[in-house]
Amino acid sequence: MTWGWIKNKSYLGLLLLGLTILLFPLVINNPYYLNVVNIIGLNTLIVVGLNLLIGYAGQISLGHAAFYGLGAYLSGILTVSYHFSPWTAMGLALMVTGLLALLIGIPTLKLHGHYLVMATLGFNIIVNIIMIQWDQVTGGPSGFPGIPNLKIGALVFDSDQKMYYLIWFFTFMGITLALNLVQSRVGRALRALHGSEVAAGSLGVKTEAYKVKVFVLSALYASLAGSLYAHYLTFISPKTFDIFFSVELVTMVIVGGMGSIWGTLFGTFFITPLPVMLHFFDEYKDIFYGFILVFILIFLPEGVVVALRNRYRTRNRRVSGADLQGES
Amino acid sequence: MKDLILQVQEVSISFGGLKAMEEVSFDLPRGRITALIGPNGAGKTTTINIISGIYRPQKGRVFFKGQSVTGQRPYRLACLGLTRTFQNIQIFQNMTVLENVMVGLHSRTQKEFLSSLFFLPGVRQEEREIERKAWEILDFFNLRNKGPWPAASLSYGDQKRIEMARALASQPDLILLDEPVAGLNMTETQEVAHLILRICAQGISVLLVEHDMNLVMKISDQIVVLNFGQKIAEGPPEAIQKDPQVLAAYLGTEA
Repeated sequence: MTWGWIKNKSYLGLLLLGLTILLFPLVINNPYYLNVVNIIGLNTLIVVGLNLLIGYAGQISLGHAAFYGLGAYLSGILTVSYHFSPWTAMGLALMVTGLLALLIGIPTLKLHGHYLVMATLGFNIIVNIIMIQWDQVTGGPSGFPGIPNLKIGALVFDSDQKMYYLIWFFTFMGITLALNLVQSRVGRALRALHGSEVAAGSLGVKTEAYKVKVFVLSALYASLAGSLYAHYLTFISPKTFDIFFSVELVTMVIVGGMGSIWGTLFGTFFITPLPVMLHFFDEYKDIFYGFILVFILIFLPEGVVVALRNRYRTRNRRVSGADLQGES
Repeated sequence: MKDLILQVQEVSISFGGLKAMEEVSFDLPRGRITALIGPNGAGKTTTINIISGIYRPQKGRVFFKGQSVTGQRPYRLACLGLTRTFQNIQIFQNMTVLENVMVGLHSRTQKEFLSSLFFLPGVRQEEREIERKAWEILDFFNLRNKGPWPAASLSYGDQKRIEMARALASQPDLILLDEPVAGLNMTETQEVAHLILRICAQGISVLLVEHDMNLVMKISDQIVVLNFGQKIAEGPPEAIQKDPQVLAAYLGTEA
């Protein structure tokens, strides 16, 4: 009964989100704003996957910018240099990125503790160096231009508005799948191993396999966003996928709330436009990020959305608790 | 032997120079309550950790339902029907009481990543089944009204009971209880004693590690005594109470 209610509530949320996505461009069709909202959509896709890993399974990655970048560069290189169709390139990018995540995940997630942070941090630095140094293939520091747009039949996704619908379609799907997962047996098992790995194991949860699987899944989310990014902007450069972006992604997870898929939307909508809004004190931007992170971790460690939700629930429980006492 | 649920055969393990278990052997009869006792540092929790697959014995073997399970991973053992509780509570603090128990049903259900992500047919039905069974277990433990509460908000005694409820939800044939009444008051201890008897009455074998001698003597059918990593006695409660070696181990007199 409780579950049914929660599920209905999240379907209602999805319905509202879907409607908002459909109607938004009718209200706002300034290409500049659409561009910002598109980047927010891509970030949301990455951060939803990352939240499954950090917020639910309790494993921290500081390398998701690298998976994002792998998706983007593989899509770019495969379409421009090897003449694959964008959709095929996207699929291949997903496969390669997933495989790399598997190779990192298997040895590091066997160990207890925060080895994944170090491994993914190193991985991000390596991937970024390859993007910069291997210039015959990647275009080096000046970037990789001329990536074709995505198309379905005669429909070419060559404008901010068309890409808006495509990006937010994938983001919507990403959110839906993530909600399905977290409300399932698997989602519970992920939260359980976050709570106590040894206890989850004693109840039959294959903790290592689950950690690896959710890590690979989160890398796939990032890779998909990367491919969309490449075909959207048609130009990519290494700077976008450096370690600082990984930190920014983790910040978005923390601001929105670890273990809250809906919180993710808040995190990305709040953090993504900051550089644009704060451009007048550009060089102090990082200080501002740092300040936000410290503020959230001290005063709202569970994230803004989760904190508000918990406050609401506690109040409700007090009320229903009083009712229970009244009955007895 | 058909009526043995578990056989521990000449198991040894040492940590550095410390021999935590030395050639320890004992059998657990099916459908009974066996207690494992001994002074602090005797190797009781190590024994439980070996049986539940957290440690791998350096020597010796463990048989569960006649099948060798030596060094098997805990999740495999859970699927075979062997689960446990923990001395220091390992409740999932980040989940509700109901969800804790629902995780207990993990080994008895199937739906994996892909089915869950895409909400494939059968997921909803399995989910309903998990929830129904979890409520049943909460009823058994008289915790139904606390189902929707965050597990972390419950009292210590209730958290201990949730841990048992969660373990029972995995439908085990053998349950290892590591100090289930440590830190509980008399009333709560009585309740837990009653619960253990009810669990056993369902045909589930119990291995109980406990310091509370009143409880151990009252509810166990058989007692195994460890001291300094070695088995020093084994038998029914009456015999153990009179065993000179056991008395020496507990009271510190020369045997």
